[in-house]
Amino acid sequence: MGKRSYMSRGRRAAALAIGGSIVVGAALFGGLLAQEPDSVTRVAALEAKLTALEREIVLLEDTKAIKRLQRAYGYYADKKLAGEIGALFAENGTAEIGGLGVFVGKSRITELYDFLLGDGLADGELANHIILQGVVDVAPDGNTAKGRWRALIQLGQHGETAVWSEGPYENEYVKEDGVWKFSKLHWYMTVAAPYDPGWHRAQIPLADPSPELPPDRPPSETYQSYPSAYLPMYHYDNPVSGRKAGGTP
Amino acid sequence: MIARADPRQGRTRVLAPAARATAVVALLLAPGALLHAQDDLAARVAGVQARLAAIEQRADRVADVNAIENLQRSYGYYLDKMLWEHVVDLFSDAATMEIGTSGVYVGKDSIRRYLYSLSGGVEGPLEGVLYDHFQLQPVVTVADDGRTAKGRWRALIMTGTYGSGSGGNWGEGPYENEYVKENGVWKISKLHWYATFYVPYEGGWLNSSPDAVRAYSEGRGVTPDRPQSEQYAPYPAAFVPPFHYPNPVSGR
Repeated sequence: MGKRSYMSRGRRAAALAIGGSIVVGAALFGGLLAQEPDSVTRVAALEAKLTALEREIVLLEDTKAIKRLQRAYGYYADKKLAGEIGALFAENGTAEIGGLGVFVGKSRITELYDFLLGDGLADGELANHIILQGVVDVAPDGNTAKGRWRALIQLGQHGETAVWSEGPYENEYVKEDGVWKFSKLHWYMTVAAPYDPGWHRAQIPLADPSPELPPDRPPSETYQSYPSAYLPMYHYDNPVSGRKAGGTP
Repeated sequence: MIARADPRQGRTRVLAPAARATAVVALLLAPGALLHAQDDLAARVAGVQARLAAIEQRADRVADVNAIENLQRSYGYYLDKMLWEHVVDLFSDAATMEIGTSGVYVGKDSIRRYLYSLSGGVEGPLEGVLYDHFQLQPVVTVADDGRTAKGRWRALIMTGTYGSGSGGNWGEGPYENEYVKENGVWKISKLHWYATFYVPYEGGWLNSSPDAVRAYSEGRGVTPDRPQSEQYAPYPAAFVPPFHYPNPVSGR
């Protein structure tokens, strides 16, 4: 009250009245406003958490979509639907099956599957591609992914051949306009053998690039199937130790 | 900032006229600013609520797919051991079941009758009998409303009767199944396995006979409620069971 001595009683009373109402008003506002920064902070924290959750759920949805894509691929291969398989690739995707070399682009990839499978399962043919054991890793930016899978394959020409085959994929995927596609498919043949007498007594060797359908690029890796031993690269580090395994990508 | 006004200020000194006028103006303007701030905050809270609702729905879809995958895989593990009551429990009341050429069994009682007929009326694993049914390669599609779903799967089957010569068998084929969520629990509403082949271990799928599919899949001494829903022959005939989903990239 340092200014009291400069004022008359009347002015002092008026000033006190005004000051009093300011005090009361400000106190009321202060009460209201004191909650304001707190609410703002809490909403901002919620918004930040939501943004993190939205990123997490996108990664879960991405993994789900990639697994669906890879499994759908297998169901189409079962029925030799080369056109449906070609449609699963990005425009500039690549495909490499066993030792046939690298095929680049959707139309060449469709040609490859047409060559391998034909278009449409005919009577007397069996082409089961059982797709198993996905290890899928989506890149932090959510635009690309890699996956290791395996195919257990049952092939047959009724009354003539029955064949087992097995081997891993190291594949890559790309998200374009919200849709996951194959950007790279690479199947390594571990083993192929006639059902009878079995893989311990007979082998079907890895095929070389075919003169009938030359690849766009030679095989990216040179190896032989069982009984030879080969170690395809792993796209992922050991999930516990973090160490790398396998050859070079 | 108004929000930082110190209410103690008025107690320490009487304001000079200019300050007083400012305070009065501030008092008059403050409610507007406050209301504006509250509007802004309310809009952000509404935004948070909308984003939360969207996330909850997306998380529900992920959880739905996980639950349905567990459901179908559980079916396989119970089937392996002929735990028929556990198998029946996985179905909704009005569910249907059709295995290969079995015809369609409708409702839990019929399904139970069919299953028990496969094991001579008893429940549980039998000495000398192998009855493994791997449940593999799911493509599960949940309806937008989250109440029903469809799934393509495949079974890889290893069966055997020990010591009986060619008692071992390989079997394989896809399912196109349907599911329903009742009181928050996913159940099988339609189970349909298409036999691709069922062949003796000796020689495998070199030679395949539809008779083996019939022997494996048809109930013994029981009659289905409806005949087989689709006529097809297993390998060596070629048959493409319909896909419940469009091509995941082309959408066709």
